[in-house]
Amino acid sequence: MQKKLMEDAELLTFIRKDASNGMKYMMDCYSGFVYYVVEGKLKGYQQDIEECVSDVFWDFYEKIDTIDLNKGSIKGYLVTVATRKAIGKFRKLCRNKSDATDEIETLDFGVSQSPEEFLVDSEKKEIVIQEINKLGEPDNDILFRRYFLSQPVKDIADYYGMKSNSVSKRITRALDVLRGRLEAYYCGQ
Amino acid sequence: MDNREVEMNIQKAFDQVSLEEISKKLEDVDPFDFQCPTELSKKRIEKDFMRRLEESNKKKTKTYKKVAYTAAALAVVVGATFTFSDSVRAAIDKMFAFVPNQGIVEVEVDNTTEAGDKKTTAKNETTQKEETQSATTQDSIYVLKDKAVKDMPNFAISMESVNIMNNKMKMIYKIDLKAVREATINEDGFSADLMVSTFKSSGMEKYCDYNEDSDPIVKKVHSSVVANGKEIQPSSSEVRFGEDSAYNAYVIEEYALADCDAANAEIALKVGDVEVPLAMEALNASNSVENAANGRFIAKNVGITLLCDTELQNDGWVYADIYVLDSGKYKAVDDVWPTLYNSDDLTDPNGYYPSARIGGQRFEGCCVAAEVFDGKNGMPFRLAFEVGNDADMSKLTVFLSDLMVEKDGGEIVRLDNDFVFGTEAADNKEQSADEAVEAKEENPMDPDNFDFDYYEKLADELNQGIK
Repeated sequence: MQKKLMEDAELLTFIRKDASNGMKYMMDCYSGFVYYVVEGKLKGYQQDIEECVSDVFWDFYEKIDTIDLNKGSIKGYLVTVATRKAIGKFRKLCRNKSDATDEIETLDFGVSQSPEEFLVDSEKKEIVIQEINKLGEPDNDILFRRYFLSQPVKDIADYYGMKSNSVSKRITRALDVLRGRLEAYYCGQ
Repeated sequence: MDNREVEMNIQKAFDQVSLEEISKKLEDVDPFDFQCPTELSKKRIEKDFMRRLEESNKKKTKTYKKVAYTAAALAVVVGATFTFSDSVRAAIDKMFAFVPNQGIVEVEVDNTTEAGDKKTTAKNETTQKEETQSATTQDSIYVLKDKAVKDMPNFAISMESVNIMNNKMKMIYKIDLKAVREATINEDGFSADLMVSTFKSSGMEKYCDYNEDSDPIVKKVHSSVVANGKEIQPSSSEVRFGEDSAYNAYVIEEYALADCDAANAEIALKVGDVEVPLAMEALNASNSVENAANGRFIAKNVGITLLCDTELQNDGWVYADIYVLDSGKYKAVDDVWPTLYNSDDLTDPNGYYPSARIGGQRFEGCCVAAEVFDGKNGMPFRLAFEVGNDADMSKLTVFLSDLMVEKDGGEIVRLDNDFVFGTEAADNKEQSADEAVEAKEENPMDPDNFDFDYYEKLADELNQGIK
């Protein structure tokens, strides 16, 4: 029988009234999803993924009274928390790894940035998002699934009813377009 | 720019997308399409959460005892270069007089200085003199001189914090179960049986009792302290779990040391048949350059007094333990890790950590084992900064802002006042309690609440002096 997901407002009320059962239900519905997001950031640290997922649900529970469904959905909150937690965990784990240089570069969120670098970086990120949105559907969504949710190309293809090759080509083409636009933007500065 | 760089930019950019936009993009995503790798994995996540919920519910009804450790931390002010108001000194004297499980005993209280008078009392001067001569006095506090680690084939013990005051010792140490970690780390899923069998086969039963369900595995440690050849059992012992909880445990213990000269005694922690020698030294703390080498500083602002104890670790990270000596007009300091402005903040991608500076270079901090170092009952908050093994610790300054404090009614608010520890502290003007700026804890998940202007200004202030 297909599981039915409780509405967000209903779920929040459930958890507030009965934390134990409410959170059990929530984890039953969302733990796979959160695991997926965390795993995308913590590849190579399998033993830490479960702990990170548990941290995500704990954080959500602790701050449940401040959740405003006008700002975002429960899915949105969980994904945002999961991303932050996983990145933070990755940074801590990297302290103990001397061979993670490439990964650190990939996930360098300005740990030792000067404030000037930090502010320039924020502007750059804003431009990237704008250019991604300009690509239109489904390319901007494909990029979101690929680079934020870390979904495999095959899963994205299944969702859109496309062939994997088609999705790969769309990604490559989107990257080429973005590269051109970003280079043009920085040359213009 | 190549496509690899574009991919990196895309990843970074998506991690900063707003909550609203992410929620829109996830509208068509069905969470039931995603599963944990195994059913065991899902159960373990749920079990860990339920354990935390149970502990949280217990803590809410628990009555906290005032421990001598807090009194010991407060005793620092006796030897420090600051003096405080009569009410603070009276509070400190009361703390010294409290002996756990024995109630209040009468102690002779010194004549205090006038409020604002920078001169120390005659007794304080004597105390400082006695500390210099390494003699134990009524008011001296002793701390671990050198980091003590015992590395055994199957486990390791590392001393995190040790304090002795008035013949009472409080310690925090960590047990790392190396053999259990190695045996189980590559296993798919969680196996309680494998953890227990490895625990036993590696001989750990000699050192600890274990939990059958292995979640977590360490139940109780077979510990004692040996002082000048005499073995003493702990008056209290508690096991807590921080990060990587399957494989390590934090142990918090108190010992009553009768007639012990902390400066000269031979003291060791004993776990099973393993001894960890503890070399102690008298604690002095101030913001003077002369004492900067000790790595211990005091910051006072808006009526709140904090002590910062720093130590450079072997891996190039500085640990900064923040003790609350006086919470001023507030009931308690709830956290030194501001809810709104940290990397774990739910929707704020620009979290600003507590920070440190050495010379012209700034470092952002992170918290360590927050479940253990929770700032309650004399425990510090522990922060860490990656500064490198060659860092000049004599130039270290630690900055805290946005302390989370608890008001009398239980409300938690964020203070828009700064605390500076170290050689640059003199540049920070102390504000009175009336100048405390309380920011109401608005929805921390609302990205619109992030005050960019405030952090631009703070960034400018922190970077004054950078060449």
